Amino acid sequence: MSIIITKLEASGDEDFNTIYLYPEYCIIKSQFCFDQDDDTFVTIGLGGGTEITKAELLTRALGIHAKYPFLIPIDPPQPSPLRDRTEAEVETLVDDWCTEKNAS
Amino acid sequence: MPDYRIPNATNQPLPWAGDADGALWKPNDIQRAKKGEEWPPAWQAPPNYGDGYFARYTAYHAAPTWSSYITTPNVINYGGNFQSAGFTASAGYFNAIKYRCTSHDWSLQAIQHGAGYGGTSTLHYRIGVWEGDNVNILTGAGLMSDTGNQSVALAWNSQYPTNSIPAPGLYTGAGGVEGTAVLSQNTWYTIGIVYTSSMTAASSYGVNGAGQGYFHGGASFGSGSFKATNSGGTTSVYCTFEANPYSSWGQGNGWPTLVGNYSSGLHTGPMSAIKARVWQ
Repeated sequence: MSIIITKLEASGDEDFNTIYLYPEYCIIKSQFCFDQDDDTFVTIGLGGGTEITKAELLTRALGIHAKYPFLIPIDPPQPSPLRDRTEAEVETLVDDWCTEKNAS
Repeated sequence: MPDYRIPNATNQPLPWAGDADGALWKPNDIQRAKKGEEWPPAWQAPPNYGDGYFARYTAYHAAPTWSSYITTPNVINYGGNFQSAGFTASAGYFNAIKYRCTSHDWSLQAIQHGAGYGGTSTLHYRIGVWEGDNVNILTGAGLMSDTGNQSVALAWNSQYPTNSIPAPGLYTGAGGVEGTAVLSQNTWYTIGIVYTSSMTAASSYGVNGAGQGYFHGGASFGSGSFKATNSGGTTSVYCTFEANPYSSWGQGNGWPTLVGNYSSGLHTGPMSAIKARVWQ
């Protein structure tokens, strides 16, 4: 199992409507560091997608953060107002996700 | 099997219906046909609607089934956790978001709301659905649905919540049952949940950029096949939903005094998905 970048695959349901499904090689069917410019996301997979290291994941996260800042409440747990996360907080976000997914 | 005659249709007035060879049916024939299990099953039309869920996250769509974990096609969820902490609203605060279905008339059955965060308590609330962009401003058709005062246990499972409490959500109909009001295609409806008593434990919410994608606002997004089944068959309705922040809010009309919006909007909120029925 590895950290991978991939995207949902277009498929058809029984009525020939377009639906979007996780690729079979996605072990974890959830999304991290979604990039709304190309609809790609990070997850844990095996045998498909683009394999990346934790360092590359951090680079991706900071790249997305530069375009669409990750937000955080100013006075948690109160949900608003929000502010942009600092780069250190983005790094923590990535570290926490990798720890939770046992990925390195 | 007795050699009784079989009627050629089920929708003719009995006992005067004709059988397969045109002879007149008598009451005793009906009894014999039923006893011989030669009576055709009554025909039932398939549902004229489909049921499903729509989530506000950009990474997710509309689908007929909700699960805390995606394992099969046609299943959606938040894809992760409500990543932030919780909010503890005082009485009179509310959260609201507006939705529309651009493809069909529909009925809002329930809203999904963040589960507990950090403890359990009782959530006291009242949900209203207003036509238009505003909370509690009666214009046009005005108030479409009103739960009245309700309460529910706010669950907490000692980790980031991943689902609504309780599943499949908080019902939006009068008295806290599934909402049935028919909402018009292409019309915005604002859904507001008013907290009628101060929350003693936090409820979770989602926030943009927490790693799980972004709340969707605006463009055409959230298409999927909603489905329903009865003995007549399965109906699949391919539909499209949108969500956007509401505009403003007012007072009166029999509602609790509203203090203000708490956490809902384009970037945050506990109302991340709805359960809906779309009509063919």
